[in-house]
Amino acid sequence: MEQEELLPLLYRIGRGEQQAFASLYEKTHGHLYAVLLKMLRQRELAEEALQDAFVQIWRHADSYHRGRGTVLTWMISIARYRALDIIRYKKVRPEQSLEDDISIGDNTQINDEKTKLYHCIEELDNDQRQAISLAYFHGLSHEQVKHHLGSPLGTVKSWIRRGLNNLMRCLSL
Amino acid sequence: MNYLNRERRHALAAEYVLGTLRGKARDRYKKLLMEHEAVARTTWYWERQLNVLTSPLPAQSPSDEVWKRIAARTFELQDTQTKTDIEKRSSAKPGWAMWGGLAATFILAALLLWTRLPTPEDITPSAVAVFNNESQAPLWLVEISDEQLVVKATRRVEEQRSKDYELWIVPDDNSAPVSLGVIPQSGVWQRPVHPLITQNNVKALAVSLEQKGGSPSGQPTQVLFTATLEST
Repeated sequence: MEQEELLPLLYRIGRGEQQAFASLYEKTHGHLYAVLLKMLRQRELAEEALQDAFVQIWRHADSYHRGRGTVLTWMISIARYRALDIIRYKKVRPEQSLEDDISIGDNTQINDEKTKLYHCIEELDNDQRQAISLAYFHGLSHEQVKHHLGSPLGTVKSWIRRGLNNLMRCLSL
Repeated sequence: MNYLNRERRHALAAEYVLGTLRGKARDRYKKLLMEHEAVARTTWYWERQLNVLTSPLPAQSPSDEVWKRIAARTFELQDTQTKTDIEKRSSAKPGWAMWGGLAATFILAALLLWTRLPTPEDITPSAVAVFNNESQAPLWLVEISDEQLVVKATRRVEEQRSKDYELWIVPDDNSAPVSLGVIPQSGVWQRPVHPLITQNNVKALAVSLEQKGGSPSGQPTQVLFTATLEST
């Protein structure tokens, strides 16, 4: 999904054009819903979050600026924060059958811009990568990551903290 | 704790975006996001980095009902607001008398501004401020609602290609100005209302001229304009 395609739509949405909003939904809802479904695991909750996210996008289209990343990055942030709110207030708990799809390094569809991030992710220790991935994709708290991996809380916190620190160091090289 | 320390800022921002900053710590961080431009920028950095991780996820299909509900919530709201706005405009003219202390030319300029510029979310402002240039012509109109601060730039704003304009709160306790962020040189910009405004602790608003991206020091570099917030 290209920024060149989404930015003009967002600009028109800022002017209140409903058709542009429908086009933006058409082009992005499948991806946003995939992100939300992974975090919330229940279709009903993911649909609620998707709905809330798009209402916010409609209302705050004017507040987007390049500092937020691409339009899609900005939209993903809005959707993820809404999902985290739902997890918090509805006390959503991860299912025991949570898959270990922590292979954020397994990506064959990346372009040059994303290569560095994936390279840096691959540089992380397995434990760090796994803990970060469970938190990011599945919305797990430190406590839930601890439960899922069967490791002490302090160790899990340390994996995440050091993993993010290593990631930042690698990205800034 | 020094939240503006770079290392600390990145550590908190990364965990905020990741989602592991929870409960009251998350609430406190949201407050910092409003108060410190540097905190906001660091958060955006992590959003830009981490959200790339979702790229390989295969798209999923929600039910068709989702779009219907979104359309109902947004378009009906907009239609209702447009209608209300028209009704308001046709009946609100005597209400401008409350601006009695201001010059007639200024009122006319503000009215023209109000009706001409598009609003991102049609709201009834509880307070307004107008930044004027040396000739008292309006440059930016600031509207405060219960939840949103909306800044509208007029065509008189001088375009700065290599600089940015930044909006500040000057607190009434004479403490250091608090940044509200870089404001547009054209169009409309909005953000949640800062707690200092809701708590009525604002002496004035100010606009400064900054390098691209905003003040490097966290304080205004060159204050160009000030304006007071007036209740409506």
